[in-house]
Amino acid sequence: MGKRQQDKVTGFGAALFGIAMIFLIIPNWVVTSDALNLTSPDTFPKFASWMLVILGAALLLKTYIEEHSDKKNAKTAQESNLASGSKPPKEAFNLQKALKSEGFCVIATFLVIALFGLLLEPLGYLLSSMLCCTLLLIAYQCRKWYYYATVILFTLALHYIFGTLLHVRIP
Amino acid sequence: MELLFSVLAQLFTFKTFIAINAGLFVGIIIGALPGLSATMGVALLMPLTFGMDTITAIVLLLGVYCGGIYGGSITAILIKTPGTAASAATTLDGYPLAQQGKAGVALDIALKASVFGGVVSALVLLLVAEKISSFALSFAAPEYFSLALFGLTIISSVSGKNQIKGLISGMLGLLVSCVGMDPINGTNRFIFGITDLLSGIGVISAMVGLFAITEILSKAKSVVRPPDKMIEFSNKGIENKQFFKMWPNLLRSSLIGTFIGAVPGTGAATASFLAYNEAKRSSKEKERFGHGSYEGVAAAESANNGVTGATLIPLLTLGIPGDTVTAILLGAFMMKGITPGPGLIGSQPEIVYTIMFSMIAINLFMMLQGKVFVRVFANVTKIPTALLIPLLVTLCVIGSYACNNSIFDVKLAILFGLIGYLMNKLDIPLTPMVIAIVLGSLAESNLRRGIAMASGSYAIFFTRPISLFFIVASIFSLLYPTVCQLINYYKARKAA
Repeated sequence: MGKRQQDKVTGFGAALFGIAMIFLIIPNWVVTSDALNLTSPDTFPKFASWMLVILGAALLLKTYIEEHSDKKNAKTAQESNLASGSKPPKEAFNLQKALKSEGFCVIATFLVIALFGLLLEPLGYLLSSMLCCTLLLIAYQCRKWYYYATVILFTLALHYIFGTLLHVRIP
Repeated sequence: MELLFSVLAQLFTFKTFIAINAGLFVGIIIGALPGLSATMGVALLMPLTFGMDTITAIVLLLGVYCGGIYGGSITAILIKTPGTAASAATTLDGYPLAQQGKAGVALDIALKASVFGGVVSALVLLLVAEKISSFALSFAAPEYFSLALFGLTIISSVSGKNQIKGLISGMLGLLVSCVGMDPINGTNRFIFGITDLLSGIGVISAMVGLFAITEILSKAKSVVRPPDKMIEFSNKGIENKQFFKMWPNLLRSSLIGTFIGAVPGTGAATASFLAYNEAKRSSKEKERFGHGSYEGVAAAESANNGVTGATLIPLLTLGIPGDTVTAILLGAFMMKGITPGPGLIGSQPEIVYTIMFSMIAINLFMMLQGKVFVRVFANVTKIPTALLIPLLVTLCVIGSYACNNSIFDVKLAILFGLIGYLMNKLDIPLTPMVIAIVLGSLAESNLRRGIAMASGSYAIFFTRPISLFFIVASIFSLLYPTVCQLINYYKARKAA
């Protein structure tokens, strides 16, 4: 994603989120009471939400102005791109390649972390962490046995430190 | 003189040295583990001190406290996971240094700066404790609000080139800080029917998510991608000459930490962010901040350890615990027959001065222990990413859980991790959000208390000198970068 596109998404998202906060979330999820103090519990959230709307709009405006002033340069660049040749051919889907892609690793990592959070209660810390760490290593296609051994030993060591030495109640 | 000899005789015993070092060792480990704070360490070790004599017990707990505050910097530098909230500011420059292969330097700066801050704070405790405590006591809601406001202006300086995105991130942080029970009325805000949200969003969960899980997700990319260039790893530290060149920054940051520490209810996280901001503002190499500045690490660490001695000022001189650690220490003191308060120095001077001197000794021993820890921990950067990620995930999960023994906190940390990753993708800085989460509730509750104190008038914030000072400083802090830019612009135009 280019810088301009990032700014547009951020500006639009912030403004939209601010509006949703002001008109939907704050009226429904902030219980106001003027009994004890002069400023209401919704003052601060409303201030932050209005600021989000203003800042989002400012970011969109800034991006628009920058885009407008760079229009000529962009046009020239586009022309030179067109002149430089044809589009690169689209590659066919390759499962092996996809499994080794950066995107797959990020998604797999997040999914395993989310699974960890979900399994922590029903399976407990030891089982869920061993399972999830092993899943991560499998997702990264690690073949070295000592990686698996290290992860399991680390999990056991943490369990001992937190549970036995520090008396933290571990699920 | 007799008192001094008596104090030194109590301090320089084998038993005391063992207690100091045991406390430091446990403290550093606890501080380095995400989710476990110095407070928890002191609370965990307090039952062990039941059978000990007064001095041994107190120095053991103070060792855990100082070690815990320093220990947080280790993981903040190496794996972008601040062990405690106090080390969040250390992450900003410590982690980039580790990425540049300078983990050893960053850890060494953190250690030396921590010791420097701790010693300055202990000296202040020893020399001017009573004067500072009476000044700190004059802080009421308007002063707390203006101090928090001053802290929030840091958002402007850590936002980098895109100020608007930094402010958006800060506003999101403010909204996060509003979640839970309203601090004044006790009514619910944004709890969406989830009772776990009643106590608000924990700073540790948010930080583990925003810093650590976000970094894990970013690191996951490099599992399949060979590194752009091999980083030459070095666990060599910083030379003393180079370190002490930063003395104005170290002294200023330590004094900021000391001042903040003496004010009850503020905390080391606020101190380190404030000191970081001041270091950046007065630095000749502002552009290096956020990309691996030695000064940034030194400022954050000297400030957060500067808090340690200072928190004892209101405790020993007035009997007021400024934070949870000192509240536990107050319990430990009372258990040993010491009643902190205005009469303590007069009735038990030996005990008070031994505690004060022990703070200096603890910091000097921390230097020795830290050197060993730095050598061991610096090797973390050598671990291959594919192995490091599962280890970090486990640490993050147990760290966010251990803070409140809550699985909900783990889920929150994961959610914040996803939010942080998306914010990274959109090039929105994460630090302003963390600053706003840390300072948001302090600002809001004291703003409202202040207005209530003045029966609805906002004038109270401008008529009290300390409050006015911080408000003026906040305005200056916000406008300074813009004014500098304008001056440079006109200078350049004039030259052209």
